Order: sequence, then structure tokens, then C-alpha cells
Amino acid sequence: MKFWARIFGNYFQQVQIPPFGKFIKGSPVQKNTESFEYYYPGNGKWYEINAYPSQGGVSAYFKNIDERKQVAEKLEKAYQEKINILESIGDAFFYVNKDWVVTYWNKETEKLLGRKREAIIGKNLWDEYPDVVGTGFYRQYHKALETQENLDFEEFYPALNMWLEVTVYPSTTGLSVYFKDITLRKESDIRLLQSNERFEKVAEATNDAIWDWNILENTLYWGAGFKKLFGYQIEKNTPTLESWTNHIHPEDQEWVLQSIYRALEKPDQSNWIAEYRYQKNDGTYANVIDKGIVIRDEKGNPIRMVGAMNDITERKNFEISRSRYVSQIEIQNEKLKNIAWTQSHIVRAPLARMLGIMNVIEDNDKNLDDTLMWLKHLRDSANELDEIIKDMVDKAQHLT
Amino acid sequence: MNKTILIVDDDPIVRMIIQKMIHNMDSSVNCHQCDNGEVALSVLETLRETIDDIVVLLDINMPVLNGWGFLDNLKKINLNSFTKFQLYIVTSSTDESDMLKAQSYPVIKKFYHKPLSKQDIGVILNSDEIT
Repeated sequence: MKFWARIFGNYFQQVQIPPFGKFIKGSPVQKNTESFEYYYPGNGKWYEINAYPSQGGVSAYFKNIDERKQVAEKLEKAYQEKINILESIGDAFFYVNKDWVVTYWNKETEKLLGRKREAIIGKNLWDEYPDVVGTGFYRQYHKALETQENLDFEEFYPALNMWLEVTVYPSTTGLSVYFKDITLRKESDIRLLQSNERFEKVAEATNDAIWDWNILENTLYWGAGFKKLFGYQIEKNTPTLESWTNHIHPEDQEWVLQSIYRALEKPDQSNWIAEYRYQKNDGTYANVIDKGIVIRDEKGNPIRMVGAMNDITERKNFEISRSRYVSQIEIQNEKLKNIAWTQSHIVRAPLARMLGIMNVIEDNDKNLDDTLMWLKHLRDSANELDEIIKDMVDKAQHLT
Repeated sequence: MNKTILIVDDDPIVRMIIQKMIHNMDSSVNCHQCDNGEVALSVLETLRETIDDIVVLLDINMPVLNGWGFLDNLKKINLNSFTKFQLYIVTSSTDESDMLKAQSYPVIKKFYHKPLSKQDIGVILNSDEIT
């Protein structure tokens, strides 16, 4: 666009031509006077013929205008060329003179702004577009005219719900304005900005170290979690993959890298996960779980990988201490079972015996001596049980 | 058919009670009191030639060789040489693990908690008539 502006901006500044002007042939120059332009094939030159009625006849004056004619033709041709170009460029273009009167308005402008050139040529821009007065367009155009410096800007035009990219080329006589509809790009820019902002916020909020590896350029983006989790200052200059690999535990480095390259090589694999040790800034190692997604181009070549590292040291330690605790409980449980078994045999023995003696006594009602003997055994058993229970109570009290 | 009963228990009073109750019911029964599993094994050895029905009333918790040890050693003996061989667990324990373990020994006919009632003795003595 700048190229065209250079050519045509200058052109408009230097050559003053009435827009859409026509060379008029055969128009009356003055009352009773006829004026013609005449091409004389005899010598191949152009003449202006002025004829006056005189004394019942006609006086005719011939003037060689060949040179003028040739210049005019050249101008006409150049003008048409310029028009053709201005009409064929994809950009909308219009020209206003220093009094803000529109003198040119191309097709694309008609299309974009929805106004025919006939309806605006020769009219004041601000009279026709009062809604633009005071907006960014208004300020930028004025600024360009005042400073005589080229300007580029992007501005939203509410009336048409349209984002425009505008380039203004000022001259002492007016402004050449080129513009185009960039609504689509602008909206996707805004969406991109919003999604980037969301990503940044999520990266900030999460306790994960979020990373984004551009495989083609070998650059690695780290979210704020990288500093939070591991204490590393995120480097000012663009980090590479080495900023990650350098801190993997030496014993884990090889297999972790192999697993990531294996994931990259398989076109149908998009997920990667690894659990390894990662060195923190203080030299200690954290247990991390790292999950990533491979992004590929349409040919399946990996171009990017994004993921998140999570410090699971605490969880891991908790798991270890919990499994230790569980095995302690299991051991204790085993001991308790043994104790219960012993109690069941030992404690219940004298009681079972007592009950057995009672069975015998019931069964044996003929002999008093026998009964007395069994009663003695019964007392002995009761005493034994009493001792066992006292002993148990005593042991239980010493437990606390 | 005559019966020979081995009462295997380290508690002499218990042995006495059981023997007394058996004899109250059937005085013809031949009773052997064994202090532990090892004694019971050697008594069984002496009974090799008998044609009596053999019944073993086995306690679990005993010194020297306990009930499980006795059962393990029993596997080495050819019990088919006996006319009839029946084995009952008689223990004061009510611990479930003992009952579960007993299930792994097919030779055990029944599991009793002490004390044996008159009815229990009756069942044990007349089991051959039922089966």
C-alpha cells in the first residue's frame, strides 16, 4: 500500500486535474463564436479553430495546439492508468483536500462504507460523516494534516461494527487515505489475547509448573509455577529445553528423555507422562509427575509440546509413611491375634474344666465322696481362673 | 465292636472328667490318657495290631507336641490298617482361626469346644451306628 501511496499521493499533490474531467470538444468559447479542435491528417497535427461571424462571412483563426493536445492526451492516459490502479487495488482509498472536501472515492470505499462516490464527491467529509467527528479517525486525520507525517492506525468504527486499518499520507493540499477491513483479524487477535490472558492466569493460579516447548525453535516457556515449585528464576533470555533437562536427576535423565522422544516419534501418540526426580534451586530433589501433550502439524510431525509438572514429594512421602504405618499396624494386628489365641486357650481352659466338672457331678449323683472330690477340683479351677484374670488386669494396667 | 479311645490333653482333670463321663455311659470302652501329641503317637503305635475301633479326642494347645503337630505326624501313618479311625478336636479355645485351620485336615470328624456334654459323648460313642 505504501508503494501506491507514494506514487499516487505525490501525483495528486503535483498535478491538479479535475476528477472525472473530460476534454470538451466543440463547446462554445464565446457568444457567436465557434471553437473547434481539428486534426489535420495532411501533416498529422492538431489545430484549434476559432470562427467568428464577420461581415456576412466567417473569419477563422487556426492555432497549432499539437503540443498542448499531446500533453493533454498523455495526462488523460496517465490519469486513466492511475484510476485503473486505484480501482484495482484491494484497499479502499479516498482523497480529501485540505478543506476536507472529498475529491476521490474508489470502488472498494463504496463497498466498505456503503456510499456511492456520486453521493460524496465534492462534499465535506465531516458533514457527511458527523458520527466520526471527535473519534480516533478524526483526530488522526487532523494530526496527519498538521504534522505532515504519514500515520498508521487501527480503529473501530461503531456505525459499521468494523475494525479498520488506516494509513494516511498527508500533503499540503490534502490527505490520501487508504484503509481496509481487519475485523476478522482483530477479533481473532482479541480472542487470542483473552485466551492468552486466561492461560497466564491459570498458570499463575495452579501449583503446577506449566511449560510450553516450541520444538522447531527449541524454546521453552515456563509458567510462574516453575519458580514457585522449584525456586528457579525464570531466565530473561529465552530458555531452551536444556533449562529443563539440566535439572533432572542424573539417574532419571536418560530414561525420561528417551520416553519423551519415543512419544514424539509416534505420530498417533499425543500424551506423555513421567514420574521422576527434579532438582530444586536449593539442590534437593523433588518427586515430580510430569504430563504433556504433543501438538503436531498436518503431516504428524511434532511441532510443539505443552504440559505441567507437579511436585508430588509430599504425597510420595505421605504414601511412604502411610505404608510404613500400615505395616506397623499389620504387625501389631498379628500380635494381637496371637494374644487373642493364647487367651482363648489359656483363659478358657479352667472355665471349660469347671463346666466339665459340673457335667460330671450332674451325671454322678450316687457317690458323695466322688462329688466332694469334684467340688474340690471345681474350687481349684475357679482359683486358677481368678489368678489368670488378676494377672491379665495387672498386665493391662501396666500397658498404660 | 470294642472301642479304644485316646484322650489327648495336657490337663489331667480334663482327661479324668472325659474318661469318667465315657465310663458312666459305656464302661466297656478302653481309655488311654495321653499328656501330649507325642505320647498319643506312641500309644497309637502300640495299637497297631488291635481290631478295636479307634477314637481320638484331641486338644490343640499342649506342650511338647500340640494338636496340629500330632495331626501333621498322623499323615505319615497308614490309618487304613485300623478297623475304624475317628478323630475329634476338643479344645477350650473359641478362636475362629483354630476352626478355620481345622478345615484343612480332612481327618477331623468334628470340632468341639470344651466341655463335652453328656450328649456330645453319646454322639461320639455311637457315631459308628449313625454313619
